[in-house]
Amino acid sequence: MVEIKSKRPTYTVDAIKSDIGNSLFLGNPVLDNVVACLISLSGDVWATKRRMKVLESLLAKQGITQEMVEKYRPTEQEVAAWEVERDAFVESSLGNLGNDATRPASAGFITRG
Amino acid sequence: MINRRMMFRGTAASAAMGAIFKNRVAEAAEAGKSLAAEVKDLNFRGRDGRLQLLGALDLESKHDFSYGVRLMQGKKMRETAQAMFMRALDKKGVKSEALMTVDEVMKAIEDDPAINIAQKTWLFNQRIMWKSLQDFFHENADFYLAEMESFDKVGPGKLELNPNMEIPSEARHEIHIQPGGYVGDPFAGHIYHYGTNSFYISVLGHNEQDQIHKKTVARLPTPADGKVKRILDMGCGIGQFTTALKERFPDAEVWGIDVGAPMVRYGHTRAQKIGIGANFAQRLAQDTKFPDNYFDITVSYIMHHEMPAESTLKVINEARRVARSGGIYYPIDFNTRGTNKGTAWGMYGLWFDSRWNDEVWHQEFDAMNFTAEIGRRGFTAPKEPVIALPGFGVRHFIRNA
Repeated sequence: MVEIKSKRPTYTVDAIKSDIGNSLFLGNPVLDNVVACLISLSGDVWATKRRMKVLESLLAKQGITQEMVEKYRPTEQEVAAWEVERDAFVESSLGNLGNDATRPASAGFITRG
Repeated sequence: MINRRMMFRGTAASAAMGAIFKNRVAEAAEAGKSLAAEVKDLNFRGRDGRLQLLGALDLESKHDFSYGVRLMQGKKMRETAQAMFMRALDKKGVKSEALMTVDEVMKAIEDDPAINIAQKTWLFNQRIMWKSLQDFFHENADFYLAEMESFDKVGPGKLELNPNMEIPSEARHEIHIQPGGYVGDPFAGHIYHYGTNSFYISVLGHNEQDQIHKKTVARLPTPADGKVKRILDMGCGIGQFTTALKERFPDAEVWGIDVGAPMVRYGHTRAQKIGIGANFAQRLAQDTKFPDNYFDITVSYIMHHEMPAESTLKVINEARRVARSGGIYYPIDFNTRGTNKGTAWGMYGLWFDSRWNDEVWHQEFDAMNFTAEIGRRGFTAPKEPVIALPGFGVRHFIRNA
């Protein structure tokens, strides 16, 4: 039975669970997982963009217009700080694309030292 | 996210809500004058027509995204997958128009799992969408349960719950991979309502205002004698069809019944909120408990493909029992093939819907001749049947004398 944070009656019975979480559609579980992650991540990105649109609309009503946003020029300090953040973001989100891996899972131990 | 401090408190608030909706203003004031502001917070994001907006902007935005993915998946990704699918068939020397079973189809494409990318995108978008809804309603469980409690005993429409009813295992599946299905989550109705709005957008168009249900009801035929005093909606779910029926026939006694208590609870709450006095009951379509010859119109809306073929036959018999002579029977559902063979692409889609979208009975339904089965059970189709929902099965029947 599903557990919830309430003592009120729920009028529920146990469901027969789907096994969709164990599905392997694309022939490689990693590929399946990556697609699921991308969908989830993209949903969060869109939610953030949509919230930004709400904020821009509200700001416009307060006198901060789209034109003012577009024309805004950051200060030198802001530019420097934003570039650091941008590079960190690119590395964390896309850095693995440049990973030139060659060893299969069956590869033996490498010689160390 | 709703701030829990903003939530109204249980019993007193329930009493206040019920009283307000019955116009017992004085009683509401006595039940909790200080709760008035908190009651307003229940719908603090407001409504879009008859659709209560989701309780958080980001949740609404994620659903907006989910709509978009569904639209893209249904067109571009589906076309790409279909092209890959046809190439795989060609490689195996299988003609695309050949009639095949599901097993034969899946064997023909097993070497190229990348074909499944459209199905993967569809189902995981759906899974993420369901989870975001379930998480939200569970986090705010007490608030939403209190809201339903406050409407359970409020009219004009009645609500009948049967907590001791034996729920058949066939109705316990997580249809559409909705977590908990229709019976296992207290917010099954909420989750289903918001979730299925995206289903409509990608297939039939917008339905946030019940547009599809209302248009379909508007096309429904009436008995030849024009008498419409009682209407039954079998397997009503959250009652969008039920309320549309009550709107078209405001003087009729309209009942929506469903196996899922959370579904009819939400349906009843929603009907009261939008001011429609339809009745709801947790009952089985196979065993409605209504008297013989009681209804002038008996309908169902996309229910039968979600039950075993054997149960469908029982439901037709029950519809025959409760319909009056000359009464209309119009179960709306998909067309069926009447066989377990079809074109490869069609059977591939049916497989994913049945197996992975957890529409566990869809293959059985598709293999039966639903329309013919109704004709064998005491109903007659008119010479010029009415098309209630274009693209779906035309099953306009009149109960024999």
